Amino acid sequence: MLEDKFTELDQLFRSVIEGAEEQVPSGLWSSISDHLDALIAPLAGAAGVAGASAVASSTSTSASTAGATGTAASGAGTAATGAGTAVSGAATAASASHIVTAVVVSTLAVGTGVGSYFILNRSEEPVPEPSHVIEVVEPVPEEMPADTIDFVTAIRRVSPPVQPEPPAAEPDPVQPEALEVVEPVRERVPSRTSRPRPEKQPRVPEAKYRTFSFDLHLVPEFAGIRSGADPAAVMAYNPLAVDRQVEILQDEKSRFKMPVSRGIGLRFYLSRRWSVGTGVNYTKQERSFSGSYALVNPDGTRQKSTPARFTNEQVYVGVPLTAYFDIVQAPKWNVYAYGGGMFEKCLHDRYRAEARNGKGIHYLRQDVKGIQASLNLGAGLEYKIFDPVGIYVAPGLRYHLPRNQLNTMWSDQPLRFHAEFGVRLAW
Amino acid sequence: MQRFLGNLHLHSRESQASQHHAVAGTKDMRVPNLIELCKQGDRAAQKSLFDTLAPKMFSVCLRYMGDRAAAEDVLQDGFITLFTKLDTYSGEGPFEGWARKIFVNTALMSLRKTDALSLSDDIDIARGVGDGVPTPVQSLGYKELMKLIAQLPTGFRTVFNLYVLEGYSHKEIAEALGISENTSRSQLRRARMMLQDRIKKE
Repeated sequence: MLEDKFTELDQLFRSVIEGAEEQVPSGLWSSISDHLDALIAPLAGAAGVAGASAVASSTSTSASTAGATGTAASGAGTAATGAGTAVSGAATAASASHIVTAVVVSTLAVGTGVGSYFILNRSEEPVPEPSHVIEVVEPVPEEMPADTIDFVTAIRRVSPPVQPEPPAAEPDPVQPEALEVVEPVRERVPSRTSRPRPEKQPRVPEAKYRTFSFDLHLVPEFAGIRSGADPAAVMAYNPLAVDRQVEILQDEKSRFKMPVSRGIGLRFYLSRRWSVGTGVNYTKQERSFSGSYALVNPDGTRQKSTPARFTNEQVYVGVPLTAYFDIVQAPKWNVYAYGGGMFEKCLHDRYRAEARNGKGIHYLRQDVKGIQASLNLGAGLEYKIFDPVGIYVAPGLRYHLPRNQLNTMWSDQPLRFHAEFGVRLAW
Repeated sequence: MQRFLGNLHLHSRESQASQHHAVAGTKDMRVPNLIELCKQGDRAAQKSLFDTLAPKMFSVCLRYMGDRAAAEDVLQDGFITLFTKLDTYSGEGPFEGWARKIFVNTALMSLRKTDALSLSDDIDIARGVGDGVPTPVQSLGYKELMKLIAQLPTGFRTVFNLYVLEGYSHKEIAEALGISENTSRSQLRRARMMLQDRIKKE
């Protein structure tokens, strides 16, 4: 026979693959455990509510056993009633978990027509009336090229008979429905959309991976604040007299306030682990120093200088572009690495000069043109408090790319360490 | 029809295989107690069962799904189904066999649901039997064979798995998948031809 020559091939595969073992991905068990917990927890509450039944506690044990097996065997929607009474009857904690499991089973069965669709028949009976089934199937055209296409379409059409099965839930009543389902195969119309899709009721809180997240964050910037060199003489101007330049000189090193950037972020998942994000950040940089200022004449000469105490504030608005890679995706935790860049524009650069001799306070400005670009790299740790809210911390390094304009606080210490603290909503 | 995989009388080959590879004798005796504990929701017992079963079942999921991420999902869903439907295990037949059916069913459901069966690929690959690079016989270990299986178009792969590795007959496969027996035979034949083709024979 034609198939004989493949015996060797079959044997090869069977001998090597049957019973083989694979390394199980780590974290899978905790994921499963969480799902099982999630299934039981809300139902325990529901069980209490359902406990209005008149089942006496004396019959609780037998009722619970019957209820458990009954629901397990039937997998029918109405079996929930049976489970409900069983639950109410067995208020004793001892068998509570068993009962809850029964409720879980029946509820799952309710929620999943498809689950019960494949449910294993406990009696292991031979297929009821297979001849009927085959008869209907055969007209599926043999002439159709015995190609994977038909196979595929056929698989698609294999559908649960009806979503909730008849309460009796004997194998027999299912048969007529099986026939009905097979009939449409002739039409060759994908019937997926018309088929009830009970399993969309999350029978299990589905382990869906993220698609999108939104966060609010604060980013204090550590280290790198103590600068070496301060900006050299700064030429500013009084906004009320823009044509008159004012030269500012520093007597001492600047003292910096720790910049804290605020922002929002959006993240879009491209695949299970990869996502890209953007957002908007607002950063205020402040420093103070003692120095003096002097008006500059049009010919370049300076007028008398006035000692003053200065504070300088620069405000930047930035748009980051970041790529993220989720290293660990657990139900409660997420660990990721990220890298990206940011483009920032200075909104204003203001000086407040308070003359020492009490001669008044002047506000001066400088124009910082251009875009400050930076690159960053870091990792993040996220903890999900409750769906979808989580908090996170993401330390990282940022390197400010050199620019022509030197009058920013980053030119002397371009590489800085920061940490992002935030709240993230993830779906 | 849809019940048949559950009703299925295990092919004798499969029973032998699962017993051959099944947990050793003494462990068999402990297993029923472990199951009882699992039914009661004992998490430690469930973990123990998971640790015992998962490596084998992951292999099963991998050979049906063809890609690791999908196989992990099926493995997870399968276990959740297994633990929640543990009450339906009647004690007849080896537990591992019963467990395996759950994973096979979950895999089939997933294949159907995700619509991962891309038709055009199947046609092209199906027509082009013989463009795979043959694998030298010496390197045919578990990894290579699994890779060969994963490379099969989904339809071929499913029938091959069900017939050769699970031990179902064409009649049973046809009923399960809603195809004709002839289609099942032809899928199998072409799967074998493709595999054969990719295994270089001296």
